[in-house]
Amino acid sequence: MRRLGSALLGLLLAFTLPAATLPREFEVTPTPLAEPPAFITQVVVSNALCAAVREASSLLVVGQRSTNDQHLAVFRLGANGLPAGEPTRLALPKPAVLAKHANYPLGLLFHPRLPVLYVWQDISAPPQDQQEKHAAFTNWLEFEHLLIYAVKPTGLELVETAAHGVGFHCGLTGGTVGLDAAGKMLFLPNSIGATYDEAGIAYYALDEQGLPVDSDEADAGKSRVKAGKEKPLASRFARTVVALQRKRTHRYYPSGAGWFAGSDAMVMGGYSGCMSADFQRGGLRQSWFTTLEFAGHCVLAGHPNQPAIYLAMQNTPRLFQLAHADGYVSLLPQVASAKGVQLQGAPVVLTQQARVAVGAAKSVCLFGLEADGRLDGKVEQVTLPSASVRAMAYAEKRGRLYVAVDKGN
Amino acid sequence: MNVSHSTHRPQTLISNRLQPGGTGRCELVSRFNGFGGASRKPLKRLSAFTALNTWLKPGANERGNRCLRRLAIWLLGPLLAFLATTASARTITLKPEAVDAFATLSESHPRSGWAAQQIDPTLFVSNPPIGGANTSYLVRYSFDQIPKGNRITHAEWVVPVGFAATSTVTVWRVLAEWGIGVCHQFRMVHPKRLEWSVPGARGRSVDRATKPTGSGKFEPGMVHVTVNVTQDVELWHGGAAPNRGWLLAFDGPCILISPTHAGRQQWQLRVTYEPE
Repeated sequence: MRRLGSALLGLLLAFTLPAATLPREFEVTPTPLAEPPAFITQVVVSNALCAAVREASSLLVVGQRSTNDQHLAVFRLGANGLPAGEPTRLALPKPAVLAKHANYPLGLLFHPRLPVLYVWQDISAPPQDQQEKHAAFTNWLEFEHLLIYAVKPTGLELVETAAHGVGFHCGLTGGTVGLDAAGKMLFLPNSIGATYDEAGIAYYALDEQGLPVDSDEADAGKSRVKAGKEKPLASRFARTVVALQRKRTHRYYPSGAGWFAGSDAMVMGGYSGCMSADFQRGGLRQSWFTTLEFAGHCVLAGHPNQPAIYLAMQNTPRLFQLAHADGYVSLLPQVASAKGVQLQGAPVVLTQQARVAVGAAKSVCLFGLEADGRLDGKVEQVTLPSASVRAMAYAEKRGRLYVAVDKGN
Repeated sequence: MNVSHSTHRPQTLISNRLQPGGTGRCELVSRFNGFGGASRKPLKRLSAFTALNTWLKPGANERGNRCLRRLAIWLLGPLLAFLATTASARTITLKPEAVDAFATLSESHPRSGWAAQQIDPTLFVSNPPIGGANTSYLVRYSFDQIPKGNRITHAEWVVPVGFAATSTVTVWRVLAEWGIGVCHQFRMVHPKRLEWSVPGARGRSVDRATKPTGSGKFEPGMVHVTVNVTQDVELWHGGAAPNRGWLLAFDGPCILISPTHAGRQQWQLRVTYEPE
């Protein structure tokens, strides 16, 4: 009988053990971590929305909603990568006529080679069907969405503003800027599409200093700042006057919900999917990948070393992993559902830890990665003192993830 | 199974700790040895059983033994029923969840592996998939659900289509390996950039088989075509050829039901198999 029992149990186990291969679509219960891992550095910036780090300048910038005009918290980082002292606070400019309306940063991006920070901001505004040429929107036409700061030893200095007028929508909670692989084209979100609820995108050619320039001048390698006559990125700030290229997307707002620069095409997060954009015959060509049976606002990040991009569908438990080649989306996605979690904000790829971090309410989820960038089916959850974790930035050389939280532990 | 008939010398399969002598456990383990021959591999597989036998040692855990006996009796019936059913032919339907790779090959956007529906010269979308003379699709199923040790006796693939389609769909077995970055121009871009012998996987006997697997004509009112794919599935499942999926080619425009979006359950691959 004992033999029979052991044989039966063995057979039962053989038929009931789960398969070793991970299904393409899977649900996983996150494993709670008792303590935040050592690679996570928390910085206290309440109501934070976005963050960016520039290791070469030892600078961490966090953008936040603020009632007292303190929209950017600029941290100096010490040699150990930890914030050295209290941050410097900066207010984002807006027209005086909009003084009673709250503006807020949605995206921060350092140029990978140049000491330049691009900030995308938005402001509370009339309903979306009362914008563009509507009389109620007149005061918003002077609002500048794009702010360009020079990174100087003394801190950040505003040098140019751009992206205003009827071409852009206001009052959105998503959208950021992106640079192409060469760092010569700056893509902007939330431009006006063909209808009031359709998002477009826009882009500027950049000169050698990372400032917008007319396309023909960029092609000729010209810069608006003449060498020897004026110092680069002079201490004046001006509105850009160069031409902006715009393109409708046929999708709802927000557009530009995360960008990844492939060698041949840009990939952009958007409504219910992502878009690959390349230039053909002088124009921007869009190819949309739609997220299977699910609909919603998707925010995107790309793996810097592997052919993988990650789409976090906002306020859902779903993270999509898609393969890409040179920026063109490929094959079927992996779809992970983290049980009991509502994902928020942009994914951040942690190359040294082989994980993707995505914010959520009072926590960060860490999705495990295979060596090729695919999801490995494991998810860890770190509880943090913040109502909503959205602002994260990763210092790749130091292997450190900065997370903005509402209060200290 | 009597191990004395084996030409191999039986290996010692029980550790010293589990050789009390006279318990009969050696006999049990030797029978398991017969399943695995004389290789070392079965030894690892047996570790769970030997550990279980230790736990079942008389007097060591009488209450546990009683429970186990009851469990064994209770499980015996369903197990025998299960084994009886596996001895006969079975048909399973592979749904789109079993599709493990999918791609679009579009001559009008030779680098896109997803978006083939052209809205205007600068906009392509992925859903619904539209087939045409210059747009075809690659679809690969995983056959993990079919147990090993079975042979395929019949397989048919149901390809659903939108209304008013009148084109002919031709199913080809794909020969060339494809992967990340597959598109009209390339069969893969990562980890290596490789082109099709003829763009769009059109190279006969190189990119795709010499002869098509089958074909069907969509006609008004017909919501799907069914193609006999027995030979291909048999080749793949039996290991005679690597599974590189099918190419769906069209002679005219037609809107397919997407195998990856709403309505995808209409895609079905019915496979009948029986023990070899």
